[in-house]
Amino acid sequence: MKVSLICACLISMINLSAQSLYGSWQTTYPGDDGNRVKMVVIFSEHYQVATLYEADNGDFMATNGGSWTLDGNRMTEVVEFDSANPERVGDSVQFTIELKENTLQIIGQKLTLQRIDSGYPGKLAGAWLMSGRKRNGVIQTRDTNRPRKTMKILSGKRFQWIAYDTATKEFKGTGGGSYTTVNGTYTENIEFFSRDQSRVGASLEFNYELVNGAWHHSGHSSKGQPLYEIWSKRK
Amino acid sequence: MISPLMAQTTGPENGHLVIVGGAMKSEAIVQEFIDLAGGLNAPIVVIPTAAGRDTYSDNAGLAGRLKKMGASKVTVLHTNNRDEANSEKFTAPLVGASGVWFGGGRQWRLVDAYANTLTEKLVQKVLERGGVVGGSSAGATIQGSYLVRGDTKSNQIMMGDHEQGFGYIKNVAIDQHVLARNRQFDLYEIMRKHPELLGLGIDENTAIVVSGDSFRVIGESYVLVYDGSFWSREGHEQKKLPDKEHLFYMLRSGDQYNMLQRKVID
Repeated sequence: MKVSLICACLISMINLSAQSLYGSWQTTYPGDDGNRVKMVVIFSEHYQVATLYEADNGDFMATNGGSWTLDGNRMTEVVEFDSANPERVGDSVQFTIELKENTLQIIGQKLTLQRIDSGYPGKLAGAWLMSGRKRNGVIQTRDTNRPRKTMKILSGKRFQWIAYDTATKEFKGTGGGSYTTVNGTYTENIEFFSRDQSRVGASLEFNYELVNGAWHHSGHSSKGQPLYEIWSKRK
Repeated sequence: MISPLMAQTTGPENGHLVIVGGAMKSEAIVQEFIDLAGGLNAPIVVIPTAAGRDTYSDNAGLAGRLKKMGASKVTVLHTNNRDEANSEKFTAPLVGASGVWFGGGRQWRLVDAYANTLTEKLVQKVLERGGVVGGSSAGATIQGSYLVRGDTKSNQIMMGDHEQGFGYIKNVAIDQHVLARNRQFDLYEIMRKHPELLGLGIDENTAIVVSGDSFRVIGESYVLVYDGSFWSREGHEQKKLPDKEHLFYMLRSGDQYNMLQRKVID
């Protein structure tokens, strides 16, 4: 009885620990040339992304991420994409973390990340895969199990999309920044964009609706084209 | 193999080098580079290729900082295509440049993109005209003749699949981030294999400014010198030193060193 109680407590502590990682984290440090490098990490329930970009001009530097699990303070990540080292895709990486209420440190590295949010107030926190588009009034579905993926990871304040292919290990592009959800309007404020740095600083507004757990995302693209996308939450 | 007795460590005949050990927070180091290039209106080319990205903005790496400090003619130059690196169109900004900066990343990328191309030749010309070449981290190591940590697999391999730098200093091996990353023993491997080389380990936010065969140290931390001897400002005669192979000593801001004579300038 006592043993099972202790086990239950331990399990709940582990869960609490994992849950308290949810959200986004950041740090800024000097790059080789003294330019300010910003690192942002977003943790959703099962997936995470870590990204480096130049804080002052939004120049994208690198991103990597994939699935994660936490056993005590030992984290295991399985890499799904890595823009700088694509050969790491599929690798399992383990390291030890120290998690406090508002700081996250990877043991052995001198970086300490500060918490940005814990999954609030944005209403779209989680990892999402594009699962369909509406074209000419007709919804075209997309198999989310195929290796070519477009994933969005959001915390309560940060968003990032990543396009990649787990079969070829190819990284295709990413963009991200901060976001808000207010009265059905989803607003992205772009802080980095690997394909077109001139988009940094732009603010894009879309409609959003959660329909049976799927995120219906509609409005106009930055080029003025109408869009209607459906995103499904990753399990 | 070059005889250790014959190897001479020499700097560029003309021009200057600013070689930084990474994490260059100090504005004074950047200002030194601008001054040696000829001031705020000097044409400066920033080459960020070592960072390994596909594209760079006009403010990438040091370029944005230089502009913020008032530099008016800053161009970012990047390619991974050797044909382009050999073209007159691509290299046009280098023709009149008086300053060139190599940003951080992995030094072998600079070799793959530019070694023995028109780009490399025109950077050499900047020095011959009396200009300045600078760089931080990978951009520091590339300026030496031996390419430290030049392996494409890992930056922990000291002697890798790329061993030849651009050699603005001859017979030297330059490491960076040395104290910040506890790399002080890493150069031993190269020194053992190549005793003819002078080893220089530059810590973060610290630089050597090379003019002729000598350099002076600027910045907040230390430069480690591996020349098979020992030096201390309080004298070294009474010190119990390790064997010659494991000697190094540190120089700080204001200290000067003659690379040809391999001696601290008192």
